[in-house]
Amino acid sequence: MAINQAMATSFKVDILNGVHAFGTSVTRGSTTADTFKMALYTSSASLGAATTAYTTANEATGTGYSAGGQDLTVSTAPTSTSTTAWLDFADETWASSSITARGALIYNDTQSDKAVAVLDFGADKTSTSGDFTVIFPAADSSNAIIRIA
Amino acid sequence: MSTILEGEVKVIATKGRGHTPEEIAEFALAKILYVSKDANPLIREQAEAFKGYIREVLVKYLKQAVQSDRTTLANKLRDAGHSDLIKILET
Repeated sequence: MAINQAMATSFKVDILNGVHAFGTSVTRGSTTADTFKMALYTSSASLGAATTAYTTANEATGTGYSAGGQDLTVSTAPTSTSTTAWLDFADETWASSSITARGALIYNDTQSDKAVAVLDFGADKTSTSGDFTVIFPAADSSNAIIRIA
Repeated sequence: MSTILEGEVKVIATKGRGHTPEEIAEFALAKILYVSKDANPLIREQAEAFKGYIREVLVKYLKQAVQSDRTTLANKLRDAGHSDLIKILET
């Protein structure tokens, strides 16, 4: 017998599924998953850990891009491997586009556009009458885009 | 201690064209198989060999899908009376 202090792995998955509410919660209209979006930003944008919600300030513009960005598809619903909870999004493409962007914001379109994650592309990326594709990392507990270890 | 972690994304942007079957195959491979830098060298070698095989299969069938779609498009253009545009699809 042994008692090992730990955060329950199931709890980590539950967090990603919005099961627990330690504080004031939100009113949900249904039990379906929220809609998450990704918006692109120019190098003039100020985004980071302090970002709380989607903003139009310095959002990318151009052919094939609409303000607010595009819906993301959750390709792997919250799950766990060993003690790490994780989820994955499908790669996102702005087809036939002419866009320049330095980073992106993943946000919850269903819950008042609340911020989820800021992505830094490391440099300006430009599509010219082409495809602009954001490739998410491998879908596993070591690399997935959102993990609770 | 538990921590929330964020993975790193990559961006591929093209100019004057869409993605090639080879590029899309790489996108798919990244989802199908990840070989850790820390993996045992023998296992990594086998995994890379398997990855190479999957890459060849993906590229082959993606090219086939593109060609097949062009056949469908060519027929739609012909039916719409634009047979002259079919030559563009063949380049």
